[in-house]
Amino acid sequence: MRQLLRNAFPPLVAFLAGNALWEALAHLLEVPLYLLPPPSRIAGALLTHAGPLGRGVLLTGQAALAGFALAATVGVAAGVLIASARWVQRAVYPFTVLLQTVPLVAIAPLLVVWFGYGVRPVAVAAFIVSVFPVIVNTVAGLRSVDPPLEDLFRLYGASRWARLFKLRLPWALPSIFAGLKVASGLAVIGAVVGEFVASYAGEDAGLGMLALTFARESHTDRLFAAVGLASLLGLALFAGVGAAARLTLRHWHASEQEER
Amino acid sequence: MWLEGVRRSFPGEVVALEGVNLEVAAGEFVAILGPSGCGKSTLLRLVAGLDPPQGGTVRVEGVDGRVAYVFQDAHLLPWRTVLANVELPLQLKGVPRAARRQAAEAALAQVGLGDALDRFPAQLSGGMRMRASLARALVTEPRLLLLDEPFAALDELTRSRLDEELFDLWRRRRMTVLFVTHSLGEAAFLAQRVVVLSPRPARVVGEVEVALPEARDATLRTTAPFNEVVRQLQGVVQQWGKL
Repeated sequence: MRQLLRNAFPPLVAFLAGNALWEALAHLLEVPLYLLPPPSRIAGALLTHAGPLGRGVLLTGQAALAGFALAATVGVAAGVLIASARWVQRAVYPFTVLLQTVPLVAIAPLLVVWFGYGVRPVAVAAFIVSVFPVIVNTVAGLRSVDPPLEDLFRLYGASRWARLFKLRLPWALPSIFAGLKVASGLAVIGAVVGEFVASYAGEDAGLGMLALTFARESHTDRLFAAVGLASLLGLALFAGVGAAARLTLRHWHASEQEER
Repeated sequence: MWLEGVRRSFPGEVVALEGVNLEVAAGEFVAILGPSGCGKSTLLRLVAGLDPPQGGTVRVEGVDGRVAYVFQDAHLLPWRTVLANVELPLQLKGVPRAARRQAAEAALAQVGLGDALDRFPAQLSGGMRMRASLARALVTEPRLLLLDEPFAALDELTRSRLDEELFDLWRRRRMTVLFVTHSLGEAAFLAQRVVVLSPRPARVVGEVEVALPEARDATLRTTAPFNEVVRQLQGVVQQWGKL
């Protein structure tokens, strides 16, 4: 509990102080509301539009989570496949890099053609931008297995599966989690960008669509509220992955050992 | 049960072993002494069947696949407890849970780790990790135990202790042991016979029978016969320079 307090206190103070400064400057310099609304206005917008924003958080969160889960599953599986043989790596790896370089906004219309509007194309957008770091980190982790341990498993006649599940995947786990952490933030970004194009408007608008609408209407305070919520969503997903990593690795990996 | 490595060379980019002849009888404790990087590890890997020889033949008979290997460092699985690490070889061979658990506990008790079963490798000292690694090798009741400078990374005191315990284990179990080292004292203390290798490419350049008493403990290291063996080894080694 004291640990929690000690960790939560400094960022909380910084947050409050930063907002107070922002509020004061916005009033003192009389910044136009459509340019930079003060925090009080954003909080107000958050309250008056709690309904659509809440619904947006739910929709975007759902799509991001689905895309992230898909990226985690497909990414690890692809990583295992790629790391299984040199020739597979040479054949497939260059194309996975395409996932990283393809401009999401440009292919989002294609996603609409394939999947229509709604959660599905948005989840696919989240998947496309978040799968690459999972693949890369899985491959790196699997490639880094301690050679003597590979020898040991060979000496004891371990099967391919035993080697994969009892040695290589556990060994790659810290690396995989590092990939998942990067992917968690990207998934939310991918979902929001996907929603620019593929979200329903009105009742079933995700945060991305809401942000777009608010921007067009010059409701900058509401826009800030939507953007803030999207960031919080990414943060929550990241924290979830972090907690899972801690739970899994705390006994044995230096990256998750408690500080003394 | 015996092991015969007749003649083998292992040319990669560099020739590691050139025409090495070695015969080891069942139950014998042989130390292989040679300078660092002379191909001692290559030799062990050939015997273990981890690498194929590129010339000559390696014949290991009567061990029934019961070969265990101990590396220079412990190389435990960091996500497994000590007990689960020692269970691993049996698990891979499909031994049922209860039986392998019992065997692992016994092996750990033998190396003096009976009270550290549930600790993780990260929570152990270097010496304890090496003990666990030794237990992992012993749990399969190997007929042939291959040790590749197993205690080289430990401090002098821990190393002597583990040498003594290893000798005791061998005296009780009488498995065949190949022990690679670059320490004269360690070779003399442990082995019945010391095979000296030359620098790369390695060849057998001398053999010293160790005629020391069957019962050996720490006090042996200060006796005249022990020093005589070390001096003898020194002689063989000096003939071939650099160690």
